[in-house]
Amino acid sequence: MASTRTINRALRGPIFDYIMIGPAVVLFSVFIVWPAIQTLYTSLFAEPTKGGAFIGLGNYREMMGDPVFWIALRNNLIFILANLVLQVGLGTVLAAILDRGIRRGSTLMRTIIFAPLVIAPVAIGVMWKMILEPNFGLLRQLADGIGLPFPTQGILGDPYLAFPAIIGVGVWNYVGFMMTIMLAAMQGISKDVYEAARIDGASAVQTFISITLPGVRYALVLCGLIVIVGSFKTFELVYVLTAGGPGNATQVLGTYIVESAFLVFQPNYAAGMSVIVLLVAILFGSLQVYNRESKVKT
Amino acid sequence: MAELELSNVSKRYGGLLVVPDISLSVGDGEFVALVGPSGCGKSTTLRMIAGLEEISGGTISINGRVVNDLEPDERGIAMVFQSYALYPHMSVAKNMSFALRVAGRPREEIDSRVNEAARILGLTEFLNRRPAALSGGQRQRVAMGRAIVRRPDVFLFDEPLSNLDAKLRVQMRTEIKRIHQNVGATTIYVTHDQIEAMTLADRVVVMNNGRIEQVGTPAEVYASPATSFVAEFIGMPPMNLVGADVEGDALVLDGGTRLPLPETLRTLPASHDKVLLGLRPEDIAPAGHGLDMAAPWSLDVPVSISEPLGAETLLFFELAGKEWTARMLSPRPVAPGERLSFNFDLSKLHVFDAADGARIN
Repeated sequence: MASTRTINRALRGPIFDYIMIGPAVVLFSVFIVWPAIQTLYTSLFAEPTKGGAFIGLGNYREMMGDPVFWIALRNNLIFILANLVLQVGLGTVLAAILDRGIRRGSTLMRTIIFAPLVIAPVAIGVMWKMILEPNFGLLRQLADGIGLPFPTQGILGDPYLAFPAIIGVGVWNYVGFMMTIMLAAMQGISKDVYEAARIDGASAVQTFISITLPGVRYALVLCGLIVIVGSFKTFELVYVLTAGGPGNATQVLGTYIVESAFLVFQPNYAAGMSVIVLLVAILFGSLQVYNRESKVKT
Repeated sequence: MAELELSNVSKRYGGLLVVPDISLSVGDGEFVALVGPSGCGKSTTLRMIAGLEEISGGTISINGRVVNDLEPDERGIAMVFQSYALYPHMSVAKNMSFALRVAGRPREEIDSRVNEAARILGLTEFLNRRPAALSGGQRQRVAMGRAIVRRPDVFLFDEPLSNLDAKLRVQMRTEIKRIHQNVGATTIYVTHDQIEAMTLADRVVVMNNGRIEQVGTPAEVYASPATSFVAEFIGMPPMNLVGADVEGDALVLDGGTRLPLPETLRTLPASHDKVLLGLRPEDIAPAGHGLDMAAPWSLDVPVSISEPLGAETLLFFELAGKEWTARMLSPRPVAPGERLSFNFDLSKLHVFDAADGARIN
């Protein structure tokens, strides 16, 4: 009888498992773990232009007194909070509308909302930079057309409007992704449960709060963690739209690290900031794994 | 407690008419089972009563009040779903009290009603557990508890035991009957399992293709099925049905076997030359191994299959191009091919119109 097995019996077992995961472990070690250790090591030395001597936590002490570092960190935190509310919140509401509200055209709407995600962030940045351009941008023309004032230095040149604009573009880019995750989770809730709630007299809002949200809590936490890690690492969008300006108004850690390393040539100081970003990413990454394991156990 | 009235109720999905015209009266405290094969419209009918499906025509009244346009929670009904439909993130107590909490009832009243329902259903020790930590039978009881705490006018059950294993299904069946006897609420119970319908209901409504075939007590639908569909659907094993012609004093089965026309059928209308004859398995038995027969007629046939059930044995044999089932009240082993002399109680013959299946005798 012809065997249907694709793997020889002798090849199965722990050794085969190690062989299979080996390449991934090697690649992860070479391109993630080793650079991370190298970055940590580098951050403990003075800049090459200042002799490159071992200074321990000197770069970290300098960071504590650097106002731009604190602006960048504050902007990252604002970015996280805004994205949690707008990307996850709006994504959840849109998902609920598509899941329970709209009967016709939901596939078309889902596609339209999801579409920006398939465009590279750099391309999105360039596109929005053109839309927001102060002289001939689409938004300027629209504002002129309906007689609304438009900032002379443009939205991205205004220290008070630039960061909200970046947040808006980020929401436009990622809300479809959050909506898709939440919609998938909502579609996993049994129709019978909603009907039982209807018989029990729950209103649409009560049903959303008492049935839908608890039913998608793991997806909600997952989206939250993705947003936190993503917002903390954000770089391309800010770099293309404002490069951290005007002044340092839209500086985030990602852009400040690049600026410090390649424009000001302080690679060891930049390495120190990278370690901070890495630690935060590891913290929330492990929370994400914990969330996934809790869901599996439940 | 309530009376329920369905008058010319219909349901259409686009161009598809799934329930053409149903009328049914359910008395106060009555237990009525809607039974029929998959797709016969029984669940749709229940969902229309619940208000989960809009009706396309007719009226539904509960206690004389037309509820066509009322939301489910305004109809005074409670429903137990096949899937239980428990809220997975809520404890048993929270599940049972959800409707009362939504309605803003006082805390003391909620606690008192939940505790009373939990006591009736034996759920007191599980009140703080979540549904995932309960067995199938316990979940089903929680679903019933959720219905009981609302003190509805009408209880609706949509195949509530279908997800349970055979043993638990029998236990829960008894439990549902006991609860109905205690609570005494008007109940509509949908099932495709005729044994559930027969054992639980005061009246059985047999449905087929969106129509009611017969409404009657379990004894009536079993003893006097109104159509050949009911005859075949109610009873396990099902009634033996075979085509026949009425020729003078004889019934000639398809294939030529002649049976004497029994006294009870002498008055058959002449227009019914072609008929369907029905005889239940317990009305056919090997000589000396069956019930007493008023008009026995004998025939020697070889047994094709025997199924011992312990105290009795089901015997299968070929006659008139059909496989017949006989019930032998004996555990005696019967070998395949063994010829037995079967007695047929012709006084128990059911006769149906061969064209539309309507009962004639």
